[in-house]
Amino acid sequence: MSHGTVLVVDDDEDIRESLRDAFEDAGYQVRCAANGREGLDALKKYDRPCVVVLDLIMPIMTGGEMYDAMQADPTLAEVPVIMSTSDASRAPSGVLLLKKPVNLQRMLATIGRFC
Amino acid sequence: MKVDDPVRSSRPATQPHHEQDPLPESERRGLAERSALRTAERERDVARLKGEISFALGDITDTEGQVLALQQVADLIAKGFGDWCVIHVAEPGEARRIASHADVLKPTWTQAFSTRWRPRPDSPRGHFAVLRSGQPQWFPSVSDQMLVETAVDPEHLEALRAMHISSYLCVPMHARRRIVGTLACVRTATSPAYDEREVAFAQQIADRVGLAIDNSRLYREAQEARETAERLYVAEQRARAEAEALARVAQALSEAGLDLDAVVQRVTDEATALVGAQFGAFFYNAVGEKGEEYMLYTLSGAPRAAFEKLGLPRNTPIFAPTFAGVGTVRLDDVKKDPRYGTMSPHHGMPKGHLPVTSYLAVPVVSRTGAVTGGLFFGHSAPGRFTEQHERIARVLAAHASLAIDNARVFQASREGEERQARLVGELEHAVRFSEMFVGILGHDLRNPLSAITTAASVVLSRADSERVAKPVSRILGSADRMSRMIDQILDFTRVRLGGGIPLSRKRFELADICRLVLDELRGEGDDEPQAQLELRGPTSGEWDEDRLAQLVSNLAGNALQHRSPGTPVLVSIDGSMPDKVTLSVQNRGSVPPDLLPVIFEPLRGRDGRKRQGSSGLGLGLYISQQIALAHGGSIRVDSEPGADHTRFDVDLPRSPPVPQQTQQENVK
Repeated sequence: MSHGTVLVVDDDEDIRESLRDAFEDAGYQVRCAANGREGLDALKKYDRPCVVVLDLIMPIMTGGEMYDAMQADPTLAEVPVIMSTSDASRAPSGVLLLKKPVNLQRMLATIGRFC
Repeated sequence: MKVDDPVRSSRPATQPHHEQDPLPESERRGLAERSALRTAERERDVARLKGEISFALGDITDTEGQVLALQQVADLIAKGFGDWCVIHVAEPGEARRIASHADVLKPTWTQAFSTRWRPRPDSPRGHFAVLRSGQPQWFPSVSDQMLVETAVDPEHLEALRAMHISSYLCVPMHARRRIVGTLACVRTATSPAYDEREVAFAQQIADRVGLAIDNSRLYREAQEARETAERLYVAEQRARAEAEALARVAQALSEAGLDLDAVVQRVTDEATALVGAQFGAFFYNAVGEKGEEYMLYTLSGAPRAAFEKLGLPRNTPIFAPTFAGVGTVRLDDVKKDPRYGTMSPHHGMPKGHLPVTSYLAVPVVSRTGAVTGGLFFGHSAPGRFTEQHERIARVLAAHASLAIDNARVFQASREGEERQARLVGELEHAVRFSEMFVGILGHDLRNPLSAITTAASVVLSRADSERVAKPVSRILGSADRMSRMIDQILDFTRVRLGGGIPLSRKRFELADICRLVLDELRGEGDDEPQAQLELRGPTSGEWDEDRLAQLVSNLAGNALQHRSPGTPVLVSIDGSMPDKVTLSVQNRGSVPPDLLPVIFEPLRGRDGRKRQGSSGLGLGLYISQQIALAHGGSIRVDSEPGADHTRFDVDLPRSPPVPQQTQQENVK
């Protein structure tokens, strides 16, 4: 069964790959990126995912900057974003937040709303 | 020699009686013509004498001039009106006596008349008798008995007899209705006796002399008054100049501001100028940063090189009174002072010292009584410093002390400010470091924890046996506890750094949050009774949802953890009040009495002991209290060990407090 594609953007490889395992176990296709720049490239290069799980603090391009770039691009502004962060005070206003360490059940339940 | 009566009752014995010897007309005419000639000559002589006496009295301005003038008058009278003249000037104390004689006395007797043979106050004749009576005395003839009664000793009598006195008169000297002295004249045997006209003439002369003496007195008094006024004026001018100079110094010191070095230099310069010293120095004690005392100095009127090779002044006998604050030392010639040169190795001023002869030194004493230092002045000439300079130096020392005290207080204050600024800088650095630490803790630590949690969750979901699932569940439980600890440390650090608990308010039902939290706290497979929720009244308000969930979780989690086995936990919300909601969490259990007073303090129990059943950092209740306070509310605990009952109450205002400015605007 396939519920859709989830784009995971996180600079921490362990988190990235753990989420990939969890989401794939739940039946999602998973695409991963190590920073905001790679995430944007993936969004433009491949089919639009049903949700982006986005880390906030990353090198090269932060999650906040990637979110802003998506909001500025009409073709990407509608893509749902779940931001996982250890510091909610730095997150852009209005975005859906899940605090690290992520509760996997809650994460899957949230993703299920979009995919 | 017979004694004659005084002028009032007697006639002169030598007066001729021409009417008994009638002469021929031609002789009488000749006699009359000769008599008229003699009279005219005598009147001419009298007029000339008057003129000469007036001229002699013309310019008496001082005592010396008076003596000279009276001596001249006495000489003129002795020469033109008698053979001997004595003028007594009545003055406070003993009368001044001016005498003159026309070669009637031996020189040794002349001196004796002025010094030894003073008239007796009780004498019936002469100066004192005329002073007492105010009337003239006139004796056309003088008997030997009179001389005996007048003489004060045998030699005096011998001198009087040797004079061959034939006639005597003594008249008071009047001036402005006062008797200012007497004038006495004597004629000897070869001269004619005084007649009434001559007595009257003598009185005229005496009054003229008296008036001159009194004018002289008035002139002298006026002169003295003027001199006194001038002295007072000079003193007043000097005092004014001194006061102005000191005021300038005070002004200068205030302009020197609070810079200690500038104040001390200004004091030295001004003081050296004011006391007229060639050079001045101010040696004063200073205290270093480590509290050690040392001496500094400033110079005026001399290059610093003049002192640099000499070292600092030692506690020699000359310097000691100044450095001990005993008093001022002022010496006309320092080298003649017995204290000078008594100490080795120099026995005086060291070679190359400034040439000090006049020396003045005053201690500068602080308000606390401590000796701040000393002002020293020198001059190469002797006797240059007066009492006035000493006074000025003392006043300046007082000014200097005050200015130095103020400068030191300011300096200490400035140093305090600098130290405070340094501490603030260090504190800011520590805060920045803490913030960085919080960032590291929040992000870098939670990232691997998140990886652990996610991976463990994946493993748990894939686990097909209890053997795998159980240890993985423990990993997840520990990771969850670790996550909560990190949250608490972050909150604690934020509060401690002064930021407080940040809130994101929105309107919601507290009951919904409580249900959610209690669901999460419900352990799977747990046989213990679950926490119960009781509601009363509306439970909505504007709060931070996550923070209140954290607060409820802390209180309910504690209540579940520390309850007596098998007893329930009750969470209740009282919304009956319009402006606030009270959340209560109670269980069967009691807080240890020693913990109760400090239950909301952070990190309690971190003293090496761990309380039974405690699995956290001891920050949960502290953060709960901070959450309540951040909402404008409060938290309290009620626990009675004997009653086995503990209850936490949290009051939460439904709305955030209205800022004061907004309240004022509403009133308007």
